[in-house]
Amino acid sequence: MVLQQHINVHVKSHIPWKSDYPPVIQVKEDTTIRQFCEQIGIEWDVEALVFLNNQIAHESQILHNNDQVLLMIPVVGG
Amino acid sequence: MKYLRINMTNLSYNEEDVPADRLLLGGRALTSQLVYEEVPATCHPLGPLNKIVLANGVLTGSLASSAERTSIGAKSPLTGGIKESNAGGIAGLKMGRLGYRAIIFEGLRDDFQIVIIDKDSVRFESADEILGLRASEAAQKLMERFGSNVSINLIGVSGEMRMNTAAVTNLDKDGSPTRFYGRGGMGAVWGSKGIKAVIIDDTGADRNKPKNRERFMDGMKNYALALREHPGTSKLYPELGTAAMVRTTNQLGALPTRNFSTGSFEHYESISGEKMRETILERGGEGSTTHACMPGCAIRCSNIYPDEQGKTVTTPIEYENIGLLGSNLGIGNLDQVVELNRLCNELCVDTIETGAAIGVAMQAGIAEFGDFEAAKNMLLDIEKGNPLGRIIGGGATLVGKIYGERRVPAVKGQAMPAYEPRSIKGLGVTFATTPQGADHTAGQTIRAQVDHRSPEGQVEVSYNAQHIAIVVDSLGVCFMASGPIFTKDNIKHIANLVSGYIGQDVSEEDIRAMARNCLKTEHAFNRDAGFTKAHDRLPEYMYLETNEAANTRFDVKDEELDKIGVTAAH
Repeated sequence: MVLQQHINVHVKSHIPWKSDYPPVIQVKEDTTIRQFCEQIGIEWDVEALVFLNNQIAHESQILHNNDQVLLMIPVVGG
Repeated sequence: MKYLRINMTNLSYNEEDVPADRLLLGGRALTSQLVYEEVPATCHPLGPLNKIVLANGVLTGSLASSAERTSIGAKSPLTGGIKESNAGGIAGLKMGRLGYRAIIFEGLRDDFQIVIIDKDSVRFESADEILGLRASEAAQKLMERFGSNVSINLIGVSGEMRMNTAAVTNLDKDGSPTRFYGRGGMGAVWGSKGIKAVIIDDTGADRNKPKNRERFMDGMKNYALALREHPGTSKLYPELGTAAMVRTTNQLGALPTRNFSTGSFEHYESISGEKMRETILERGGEGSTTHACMPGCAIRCSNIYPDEQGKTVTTPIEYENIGLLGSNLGIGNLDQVVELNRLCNELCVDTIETGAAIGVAMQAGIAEFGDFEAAKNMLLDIEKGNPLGRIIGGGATLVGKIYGERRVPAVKGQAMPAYEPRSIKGLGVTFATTPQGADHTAGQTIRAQVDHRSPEGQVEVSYNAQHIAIVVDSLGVCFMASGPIFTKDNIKHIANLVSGYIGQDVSEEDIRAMARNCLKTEHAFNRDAGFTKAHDRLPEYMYLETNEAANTRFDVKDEELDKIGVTAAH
């Protein structure tokens, strides 16, 4: 039997109504960024523009230990 | 529903019924169709053959939330191509009540007139009394003369001098003349026809009623729900306005800084939406962090910025203005940005084009980046109409030509809005290929959860965004509502809303087809005007020089751009 490991993900949110996150969140290995967002209550591609390690994230990207997730306001206009 | 034609040469007018098969053409789709059909593509933009089309969106006047926008279309003196620019305010509501889908201005004259349109007639009066005044003063005099319950649309001194940066403004719902049809030099075309102001007085006109109330109300209910459920329209824009984008674009390396030389600004926090909100709340008084520019708008993304005594300085402070008049000029003081914005409003110049023009002038060594007083003086030069003012008022491309500066952030002669296209390449594709010249509202891609720095897939993202932009601009819906409309298939509710309002069966596909046809028509006009694929490119330096903030150059291949540009078969 293989025990699933946990990893630490660093989170920073610039969304005023989604800012109550601890700076570090533990998730299981092999979690995708989309799954991670859903776990913390962010509807993918609706509620946030999501960055992973300072790059725009793709939903299927797998998180690694000490990755940095940044949640920005989802903007459309100007 | 009618078209009103006004001939400014002989000061006459006539009305025409809108053909039934054109009821789905409003806003941008209508201005572009009429310009394509009636304006010779090779005409001089300030000559007698150009026309101005002031057109309501299909839903404008229906009182659907955030759907009171009106478009102005013409051949642009800035780009030499087809142009549409739209604004909120109250013009559309009043025009709709008078039963006009569009007002078409033709002809040419040397003096300036006030055109007064009411339910019984069109009449003309001399505009001499308000010539040379700042917009707020001119609007005040017009309200004293025509009452405060009319729509006032006017140009400023820039339009009187037919500058490429000249915009047209109209009153917001509180009587402030700060709702701009900003882009493309539409104010210069008004000036060429001797139109100083257009008063739209709907006194005695009936309220617009949907043709099929039940269907309209069903669409309205679901549309309102979509606006309420979407985080952008329910939380983001009412709280922070579009200035919320400063942090995001800075993070993306896309906040234009010092004439688009890089994409992040060391003082970005001091000009951010969050800082603006904090300042407005702290100062109180007449300031407001949320404000509706159109009657009944649920989004309320606008704001009123107060001075330290709580008195209104101007409204609204938008992301684009902060980007072009702030970071692009190396200015990191919000009060200074707001003062430049206020002056642009008073002179009725496009904040984007003017900010970019000053940025190019700074690049050319006319002033130092960060020199607020120099920037302010350049705006005052515009007002005086002296040689430097005429040059800055001619727009960024003209400034570059006159001062021998090759780094000019413009496409088809029109300056880029506040997004570095090397960092958000989908927007770079839009800037390059839209018939409108560099314009974020012609196909905004920043919201897409894609790798903005990769050249791959950006053409498709932009092409889709360009069609979405045409849908909202043609329906008269605010661009801020495009998120909810195109999320979770809500466009079907919009089709219902439109069907109920105009009394025809309109499907989602009809709406999408309308957008496709509009884009084809605009490209056809530009081809006839002499545009080639050479016009569908970003400035050369953006291919050759790196935006250090994102470590990128623009590298979407020319062949990719040509698939959707002016020479594409579509």
